[in-house]
Amino acid sequence: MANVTLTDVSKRFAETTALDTVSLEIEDGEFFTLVGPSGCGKTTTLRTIAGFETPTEGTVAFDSEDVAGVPVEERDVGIVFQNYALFPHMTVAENVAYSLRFRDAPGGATKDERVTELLELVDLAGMGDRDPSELSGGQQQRVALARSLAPGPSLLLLDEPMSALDARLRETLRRQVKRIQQELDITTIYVTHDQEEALSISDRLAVMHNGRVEQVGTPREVYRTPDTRFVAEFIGDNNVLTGTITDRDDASGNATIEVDDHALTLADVGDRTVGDTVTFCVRPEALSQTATENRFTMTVETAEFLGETTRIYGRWNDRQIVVRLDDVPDRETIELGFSPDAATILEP
Amino acid sequence: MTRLPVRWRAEHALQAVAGLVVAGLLVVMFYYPVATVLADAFLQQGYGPLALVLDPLHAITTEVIHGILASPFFFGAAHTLFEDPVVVPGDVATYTWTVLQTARPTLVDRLPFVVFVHDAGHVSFGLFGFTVYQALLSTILSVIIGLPGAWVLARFEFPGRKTIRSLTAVPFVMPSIMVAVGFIAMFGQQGTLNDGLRALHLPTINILYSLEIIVLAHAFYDAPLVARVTAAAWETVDSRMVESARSLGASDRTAFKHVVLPQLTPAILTGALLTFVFSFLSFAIVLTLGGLEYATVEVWMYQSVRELKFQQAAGIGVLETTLSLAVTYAYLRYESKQTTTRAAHPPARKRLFERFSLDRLAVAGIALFAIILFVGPVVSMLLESVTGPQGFTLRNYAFLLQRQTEAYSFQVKPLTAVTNSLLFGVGCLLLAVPMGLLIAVLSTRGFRGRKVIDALAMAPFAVSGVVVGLGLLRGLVFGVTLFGYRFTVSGPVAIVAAHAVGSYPFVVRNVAPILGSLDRQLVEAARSLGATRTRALYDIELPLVASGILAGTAFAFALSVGEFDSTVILATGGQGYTMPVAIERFIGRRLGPATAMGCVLLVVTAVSFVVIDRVGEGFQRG
Amino acid sequence: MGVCMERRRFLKSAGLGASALLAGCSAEDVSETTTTTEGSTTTETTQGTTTGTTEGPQTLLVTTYQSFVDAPSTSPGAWLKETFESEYDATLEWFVPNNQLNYFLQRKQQGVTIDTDVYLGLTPENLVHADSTLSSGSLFESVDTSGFENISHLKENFRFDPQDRAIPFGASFISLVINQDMLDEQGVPAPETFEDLTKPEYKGSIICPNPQNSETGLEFLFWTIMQYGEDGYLDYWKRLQENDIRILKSWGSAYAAYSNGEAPIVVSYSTDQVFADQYGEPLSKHQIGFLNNQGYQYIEGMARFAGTDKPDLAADFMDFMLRADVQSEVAVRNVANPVVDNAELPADFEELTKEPEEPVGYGYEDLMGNVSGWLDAWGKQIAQQ
Repeated sequence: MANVTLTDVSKRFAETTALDTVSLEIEDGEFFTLVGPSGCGKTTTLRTIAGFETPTEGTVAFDSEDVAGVPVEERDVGIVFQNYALFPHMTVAENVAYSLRFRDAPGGATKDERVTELLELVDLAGMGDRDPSELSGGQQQRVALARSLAPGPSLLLLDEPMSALDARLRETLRRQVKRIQQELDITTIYVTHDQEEALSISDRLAVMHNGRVEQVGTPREVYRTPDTRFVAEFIGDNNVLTGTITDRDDASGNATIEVDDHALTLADVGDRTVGDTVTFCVRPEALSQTATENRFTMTVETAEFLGETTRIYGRWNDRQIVVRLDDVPDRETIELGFSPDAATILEP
Repeated sequence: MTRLPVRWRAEHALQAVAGLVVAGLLVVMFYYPVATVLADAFLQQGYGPLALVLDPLHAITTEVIHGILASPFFFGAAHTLFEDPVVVPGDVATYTWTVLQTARPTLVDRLPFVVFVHDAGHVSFGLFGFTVYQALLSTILSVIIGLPGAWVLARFEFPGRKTIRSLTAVPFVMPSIMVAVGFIAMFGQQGTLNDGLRALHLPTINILYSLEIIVLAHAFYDAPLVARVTAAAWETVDSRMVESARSLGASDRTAFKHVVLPQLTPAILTGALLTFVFSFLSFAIVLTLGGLEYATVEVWMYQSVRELKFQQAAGIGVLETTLSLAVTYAYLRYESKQTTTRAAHPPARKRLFERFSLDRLAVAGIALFAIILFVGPVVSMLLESVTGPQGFTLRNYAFLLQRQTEAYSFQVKPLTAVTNSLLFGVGCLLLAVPMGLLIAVLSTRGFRGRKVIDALAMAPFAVSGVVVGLGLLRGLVFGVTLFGYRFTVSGPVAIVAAHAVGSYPFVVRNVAPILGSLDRQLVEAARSLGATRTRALYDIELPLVASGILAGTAFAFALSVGEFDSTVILATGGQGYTMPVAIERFIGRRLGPATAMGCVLLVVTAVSFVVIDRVGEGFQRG
Repeated sequence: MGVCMERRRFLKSAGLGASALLAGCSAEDVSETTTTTEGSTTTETTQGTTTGTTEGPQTLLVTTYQSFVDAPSTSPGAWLKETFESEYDATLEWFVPNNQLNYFLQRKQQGVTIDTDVYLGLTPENLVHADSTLSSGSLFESVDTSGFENISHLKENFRFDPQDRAIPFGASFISLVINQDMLDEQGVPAPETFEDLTKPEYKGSIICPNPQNSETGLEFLFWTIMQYGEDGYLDYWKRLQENDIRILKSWGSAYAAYSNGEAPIVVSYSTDQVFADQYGEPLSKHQIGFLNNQGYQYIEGMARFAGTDKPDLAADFMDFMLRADVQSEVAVRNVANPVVDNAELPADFEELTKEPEEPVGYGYEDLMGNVSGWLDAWGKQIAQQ
């Protein structure tokens, strides 16, 4: 078990800056996710923690000890790679047992015992003699997981391990990973571009963009109260609007925002005054046909039936609006509204 | 605060030591010997090589090189370019002014060049020009023959395909004496081909002792190489790209031209460049199958060495090495552009023995041609070895046997030749394989200057065996005098060194591409599991490039067995003769004994390929 | 597990390789060895594999060319060794390096010790080459032959070294060897003069070994220079080239091509019919052609290496070589002519070894200073592109 602290870590390559003063604190036993679009720096962050990259500036510390100069093989981390990187010339059991050539199995177990234990843990009991090429993608990924856990590392890093798998399998596997992580209580850093995945399994997550951390928080926090426009748009569906404050009620903190000549009421605009430009977002599920305030008319464009709900895309004043309703509307235009405190003000 | 554990430091030290050892070996075995030979081209009489550094103003002369460049014999019409004196840069203005003032170059002064060209009826090539010319012809022919072969290998499935594919390496390693003997036995007036033509009442062909047969012999060596490399590239073409092209309206032929051919071009060029360099440096084939009128530059180099005219030899060597180094460098550039990753969808092969079609007719034609050109000489040699003036006879083999049992110690014994060849081969492997591996590893690590290592490691490609042999002889066998002691190396050790120098580039070339294209994450995974970088090399990378190591080993061994040019310079008489040397010694009034020995060499090479394959398999499984 | 084994084996083999390499290296103290710049008596130390000088029989190291001891057909080497050893209290060891003369010249130039005692197979041009190459000193030393048993019977015209270092021991003639059967098929008579060779009926019919690396070819070149002079031989060869003469790598490949029926005429030796008879081939395929009724005299000599530690034994060997009985045996086994006039030869041997009406040949002085230039000019003309 370890906690990991990154302090003002920057990483520059020849022409690009991959990380720009990234600071993170990951707690013992936490399932922490780095999420963001491709090129945002999440993989670079992971590789820096692993030791494959050295920071141009800043420090990486495990348990408050700076790990600069410590080579990868000394860092006591387990890593699961995007394409598993199973050794093709070794069997499953040999793959899993590989790290035990350098370290003893925790608890004094023999190599064979440890391998059996781990294969059972990932539901691959009895597959030890197989060749990696004989296994399916999901099975390979579990072998990779078992292999990384064999020496009982204090930190587990996973670099987009599900991206090569189909959606159904992905869901099953990530639950399995989460279960194992909780069982072993091992600090885990997980990298993914899939925000839905990030929300579903993380204890906390960091949204990254262009080498910077946009926001760190629990899934609920990040979802409900995004800090920036980027986070708002990246995490889940959202409606982001910009308008100017035309009136402010100091007592209630409400303000009237004019968005394209349409007046909307928002609660709690903070220190902003009349004349300020304000960016805010409203989650699709906060829009409803029955809400009384902030009503507007949306033209329906496409609808996606999701089983439980239906996601509807439409237009209002030439902006794209997303809303979740029970079913596909039978009309071309619908009236929607939202309550003033359902909107979240964003940093620009 | 940074921690640098002892193990990590030791590992980096080990890497540095390995690099130094390799560099040291290369310097001792190749760079120093070659430099001592080529330095003569720049030294005034009476100065030793060290003077180049210690007393350059007095020691250096460009006369020798200039003499060759300005010689119509060597450079033909181009020699007039070098005839004017070399100008020191600082004096260019003065010189130009003087020329304008006094020489007044007019059309008249230009006339000699024009007249020369006009009078000759054709542009005079000079020896260098002719050598380049025949090398170009050989390259073109090798590509023309190799491409259809690649097509058959890559696109069709038939029994024995894999065997034939591995056999494509065999012609390349055959000593030139054997090829010459085989060609004479096949294409001579009384050769197998003409015998066959006579039997069919067709007119006989007479192509020996001409440029045609020389170019054909070069193609014998190199077309299989072109085929092999191109076929390998063909198999990495993603068939889905072809399918997309076809779905967009391209015909089969157009899809080939636009999609497949561009992906094959790097491989074809690789084969072509290899062919060019080897044909450029060829000389035994030229003299045995063509005659002196087709002499190449290397013939003159060899002759200068025979006359102990070392300055001239060095001058020729410098110029010929420069040219082939330039071509080798181009080869390296192209090779690095090749991708060797496996395609997700390699094109499916067609079964060969199915219904008749135009395709399959073409394959039959290609097969027939291949049999005549490649199998023919080998089989002719086999036939020749059992044919005497009265028909079938085993006399030649009886002679070999008799020699073996009754010969005196000063006579060449076949089994001794075989044993020596095998011993030298093993010795060569012990040197070449680790060296080649180390260089391949160093050149695939990501650090600055690895392209330089690549180029320096490949230099032996471009240098003639005569220069290497001579350098090793004068540099090592005669010894270096340091601190009052003369350090010498025995002849056999020098021979092993010469063989190793000639063959380690092939180990590198077989291993480095595979090593370079290995998934980096495999090594990272190993390291994350606790392996140091070196340990990851042993546990993960080396086993995965085992097939490349194996191919390189087989190649290196076969090259050693077939090596002649350097060996013959270094063999100090006595007991150190190898099979190719023995073959040449058996060439007497009859070709019989020589062909019998040649067949022995062929069998030994084939068996060693098989043995290495088996041993390698054992390694891989174990 | 398997990978561990592989690694151990790898290390072991690398170690083996390294130790084998080291075993082949040696350091020799050269502080007493001086290079050959002081006078003709060298101060080379003669260490090496030859046996010591004090105990037991000495070993005489004789170097010779390959076919003298190791021809697929016949060679005198073995007989000579046995006979010499039976008569003298010494061991005879043959030493056959590639590129025989240059082997020693290079070592002499570099100041490397030479262990060999006698050189067998020295032609006049060899001697000229050796003397021109060494800037000072000589590879060989002169021998006092006045005490030799059979010296009075040595035919004087065979002597070619003004300094009496090289003593002749065998001779032959360069001539054409003609496959008359092949010519008959074309209805063409055998060529008789040099000019005949340039005639259209012999186009593409002649094979000549390369003078650059064959004694045979070189002496044929000399022959043409004698015939046409220094100013005319190049033109003659130009006409030969226009007539498609083939100049092949060595005597071996030239003769082998001839035997395979590639061409009816080859430049070779006048003793060819002896071999033909041995192999049971019809003599009509092995006619000897003496152009202009001449034959170029091929003489081979023996010489004692300068600075040898066994000068007396070397002289004894040379004495032995000139004995009548030895000359007979060597002549028959080497298929050559003796240089003494009292050597008895079998009748059929004499019949099969032809002699020209007029033997010709260049002497030492004629060749000195000229060979290199002739060969160079000739070579550049042939290979001219």
